[in-house]
Formats: sequence, structure tokens, C-alpha cells
Amino acid sequence: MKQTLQTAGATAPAADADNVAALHGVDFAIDDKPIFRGLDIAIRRGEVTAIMGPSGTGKTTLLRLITGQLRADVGRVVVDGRDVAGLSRRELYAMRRRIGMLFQNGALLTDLDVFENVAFPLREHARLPERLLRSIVLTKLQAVGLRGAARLKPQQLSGGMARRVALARAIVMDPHLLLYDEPFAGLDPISMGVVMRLIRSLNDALGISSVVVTHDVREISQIADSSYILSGGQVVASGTPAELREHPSPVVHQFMDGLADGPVPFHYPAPDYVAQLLDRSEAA
Amino acid sequence: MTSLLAEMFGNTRRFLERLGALAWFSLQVLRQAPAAALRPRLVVEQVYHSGALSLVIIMTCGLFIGMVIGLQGYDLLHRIGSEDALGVGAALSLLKELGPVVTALLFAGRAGTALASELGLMRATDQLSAMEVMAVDPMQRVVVPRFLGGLVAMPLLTAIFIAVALFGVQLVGVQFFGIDQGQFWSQMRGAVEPGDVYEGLIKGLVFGMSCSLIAVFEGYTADPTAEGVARATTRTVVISAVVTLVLDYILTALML
Amino acid sequence: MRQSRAIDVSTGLFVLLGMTAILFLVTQITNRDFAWGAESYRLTAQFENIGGLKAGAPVSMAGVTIGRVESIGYDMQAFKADVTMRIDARYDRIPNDSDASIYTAGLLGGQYVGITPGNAEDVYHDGDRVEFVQDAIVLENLISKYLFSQAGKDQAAATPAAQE
Repeated sequence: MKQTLQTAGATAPAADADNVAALHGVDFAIDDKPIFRGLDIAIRRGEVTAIMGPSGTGKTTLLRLITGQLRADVGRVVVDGRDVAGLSRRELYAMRRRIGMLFQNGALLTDLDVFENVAFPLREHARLPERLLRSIVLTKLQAVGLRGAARLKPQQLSGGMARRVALARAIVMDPHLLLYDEPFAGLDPISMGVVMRLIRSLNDALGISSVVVTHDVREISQIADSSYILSGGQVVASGTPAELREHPSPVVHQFMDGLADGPVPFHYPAPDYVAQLLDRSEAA
Repeated sequence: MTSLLAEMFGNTRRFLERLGALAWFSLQVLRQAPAAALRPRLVVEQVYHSGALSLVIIMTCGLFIGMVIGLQGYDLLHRIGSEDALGVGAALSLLKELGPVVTALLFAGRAGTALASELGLMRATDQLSAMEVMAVDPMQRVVVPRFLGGLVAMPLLTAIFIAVALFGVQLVGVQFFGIDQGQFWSQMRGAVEPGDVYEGLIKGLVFGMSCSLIAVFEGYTADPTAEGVARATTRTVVISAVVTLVLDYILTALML
Repeated sequence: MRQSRAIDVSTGLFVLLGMTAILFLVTQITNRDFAWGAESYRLTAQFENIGGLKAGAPVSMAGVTIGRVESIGYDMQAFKADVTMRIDARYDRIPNDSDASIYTAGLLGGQYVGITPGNAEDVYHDGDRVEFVQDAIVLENLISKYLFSQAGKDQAAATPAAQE
């Protein structure tokens, strides 16, 4: 059900049929500060796509553009073949029901327990008999390994557990696209391993597409099918993790290998060191 | 000098911006209010949080204010030999002014801050954003029920406050100072009109609307940081207090 | 869900408490002697001076409020104040030679109209005018009356002395 949209100066590339989502020439700025310039990203169906880059490159903003919470200033954001900017409120909400998003700290609703948190989308959108709802929720919790924690409150969960519950909630409506915002941040190695396994297995078992925004290079390289590295608001490299490891660009090299100094400098811009030291001693 | 002017100008512009945002926000909330009323469960929960949980502070303060009025009023009237008029003075001042205004200030302090910090925290922990992504309108699900909860709770709290305060007045005046019970109530009945009671309740309703709107607005638009939430909570109390007193003047002038 | 049941009960109690408070306030502390808006009829009266009488002031007989002053106007022909009163229809047997006077309630109180019944067989009907009136007591008139009467007494005392 692909719709051809007449947007000024844009052609619908044939590749869009393979893409569950794509950004074409997107410019975006917040309060006159440019975040993206001419961004082109394609999320291929059925794959785990990693979006990487140094902190502050606007990776979360990218996810918000895909969900339609933010609007691109220039360019098109296409999800399921439709331009997000052209959707009516109802269509936008319908689209969002088919997308699941995992927030950095889980974003569980604090006044509901684990079970109710996972059940939340179902209760809001579907009128299901209670027994069916219960089965679905328990199944999803089982998939993330937390069926036994169904009656705990979010405050009682560790960071890793909270994130897994949030994941269960994200998949409860059987979305076809999952967005992960920094899923590995602040986790211990075991939890990280769990999350990695879940991302990959869910993607394959449920036949969906996943977008993982992260800067944990080592972890994501083990499970991603294709990756993008953003820097300075643009794509500086893309390809499979193996390709990126061999990439010639020093920016990519510094990022992938975690080097302290390189194109992204160690020193914050400052005046001449000796001069500043001498100035101070003379003033004293 | 110019920097001071520039700062004042900037402050004024920011103030107007915020005022406009508040007006726009209030319009949205009011527009969606009827729809949210279709989910009584959510509203009932919020009436509980804003109203039932405020009962203790309202009744305690009501009792003590009543007793203070009794003390001061008796002392004053005793000097001119009209102690029997204590009931009248207390009832009228409580009904028309003290009841609604003090209840509103207490409400802003207890329920208003709770609303603001709750919403601010939801904003800071991405809960509101998560709802948006789950295709649930946070206004409908979270904001409007809280507004309606405060709106329903305030007039009820005002009435309870006044009733308890009157009990406090008579506790001091009749029980303690020995004013004739019959005189106390009959003089009151002679001077107080149903219109006075309605005045007080209308004020309670209006203050409920303003304090609830301010609280949910500050919380919803708070900076998504810890300081942002703290600031939103403080602003709620301060702005609610000022707005309540300004509205009080306007309403009193209109109703007199 | 146990917790929501408890919340429902608590909220219900709270609302009940609030409603009770409202009911208490409306019924127990307000005057219900005069049910405003009930059936009523009009009487008018003209005064030389109404003092501080205001619209809404009570109209009473033997101390019982039987009506309200509806409006106060000025008659440019008779050069008198024109007071219109609304009397509760329950009190429909006021003899038509009763008089209306303006009194002051208490030392600092507002002014009201008191009707003293007469002896006539016929009663007042809607739109009748009360002919027998007594104006409000104005302090300045009292003082000047007192001064004149004092001066008169002095003069009377002085004349017999002069005549001697």
C-alpha cells in the first residue's frame, strides 16, 4: 500500500519499497541551532539498523522525526511509504500504533505496576476481554524474561529490568518497527548481554525492523545488519559493522576504536597554554 | 542603565510569552474537558488525590482559623458590647472572603504542587513522550483528568473549610466565652443570605479552575530536569497565590 | 483491583462530606424567613426623606420581615421619594389605613420600613399606595429642632422676666 506523494522537488526512489522508513535530505534545527543538514538514511525492512555517533549529534531527535513528534524543516521523513508531515492527526496516531519505542530510561508509568504498564497500550487502544489481555501481557513479559515480576512497581525494578519491561510494552501491540533509544546505556555486562539478545531475537522472531540509536560500538556491532555513523549533523559513514571497521575516514576510525584524540579533539578550544599561565603569574 | 531596561524588557516579553502559552494551554484543556469526562474512572482518581487527600490540612486549618476568628472577634466586639454579633461577622467574612481564598491558597500548596511535580516528573522521565509514541494523547489521559479533579474538589473543600471554621468559631465563642448559643446562630441567620453562600461557592469554583490550570500548566511545560521540576513547583504556588488574590478582587467587585 | 475500590470509596465519602457542608451552609446559617421569588404583590409609599433606606432593605410588621424594598425613585411632581415594596403574598390582609415608617435597625444597622397595622376593614391590594408615612429621622433635623426648642424656652423664660 505505497502512496506516491507529490512533494516539491522529490522523487520516490525505488528503494523505498524495501525501506520501512527513510529520511530524504532532511534539515532540522532547534532554536536556530542546526542539528541535521541534508540527512539521508534508509531503514531496510527486516533488519537491525544501528545509528551511531558521538554524544549530542541528535540521535534521539532522529527517532522523534520518525515518530512524527518533530517535523523536519526541509526534506521528507517517510514511514511505510507515507510522508509523516502530510499525515492527519488520526493517521499519525494510527501510524504510531504500529511503531514501538524503547526510551532510554524505560519511561514506565510510575503509578502503574509492571503488568499494567505493559497492558497500557492494549487498554487504551483495544477493547479486549480481560482474559485475552492477560494472556497477551504475560506472553510479552515471558519474551523478555520478566513474567515473574508482573506485580512489582517500577520503583522496585533495577535499570535493566525496567528497560526490559519497557521493551515488553513496546512490543505488546505487535509493531512492525521498533525504535531503541540508547538501550545499553548504564547497564551492567549481563544486562547488556540480555538486551542484545532480545533485540536480535525479537527482530528475527517477530519479523520486524529495528532501529537502534547508541554509541556502544562493541555491543551493537555484534547484532546490527547495517549501521550509520552521524557526525556534525550528517552521515559520515554507512554500511555493515565489518565495513565500518575497515573505513578509511579518521572520524569513523576514532569513533569505532574509541580513540581519545582525533578529528574530535581532546582539548576544548582554549587560548595558548603558556600565555595563559604566564598572564596569571604576572597578575599575581 | 540600558542593561537594566533591556532586562526589564526581556522579562516583560518572557512574561507575555508565558501568559500567552498559558492562555493557549487553558483553551486546549477546556476544549478537551467534556471528552475526558467520558472516562470517569480517571477523574474520580484525581478527585481523590486533589480533594480527599487534602481533607486533613483543610479541616485542621479551618478549625484553627475559626478559633482565631472567635478569639479576635470576641475581643473586638466585647469592647463595644456586641459579642452576640460574633456569629454574623464570622459567617460573613468566612463565606465571602476567608473561606474561598484561604482554601485556594492551601489547595495550591498541597494539591497544586502535587499536580505540578507529578506532571513535571512525567515530563522529565519521558513518560509523556512515551504516551505520545504509544498514540495516547497525554492531554486527554493525564492533564485534563487532573484539571477536572481539582475543579470538582475545590468548591467541596471550600464548603468543608467554612463549615469547620464556623464550628471553631462557635467553639471559642459559645463554649469558651459563653456567648448565648441561640443569639449566636439566630443573629447569623438574620444576616446571612443564600446569596452569600453562593458567592463563596462560586469563588471556590473559580479559584479551583485557576489553581488547577496553573498547576497542570507549570508541570506540563516544566524543563525536563530536576531543577525544572522544582522550579515548576515553586512557580505553581507563587502564581496561584497572586492569581487567586487578583481574581478575588475582581469577583468581589463584580458580585457586590 | 482492590486499590481502586478503596479510592472510589474515599472519593465518595469526600464528595458526600463536601455536599453535606454545602447543604449545612445553605440551610443552617441563612435566613429563610423570606422565600425570595415566591408569590408577592406591590405596595408603594412616598416619603419626604428616606434617610439611608436602600433597595433590598426589609419591610417588616411587628419585627417580622414580610417583604423587601424593590426600588426607590424620585417623583418630580410631588417632590418626594417614591418607594416600591414587594410584600410576600402570604401577608395579604394589611389594613389599608396602616402606616409605613422608616426605622433604623440597632445603633449601626441599616434602615428598614416598618408597617404598623391600622383598624380598617379593607386591605391593601397589589399596586396600592400607603398614605400614612413617617420619614426617616435625620440627625440634623433633630439637632435644629432641639436648638429651636431650647431657644424658644429661653425666650419664654426671658419674656416673663422682661415683663416684670
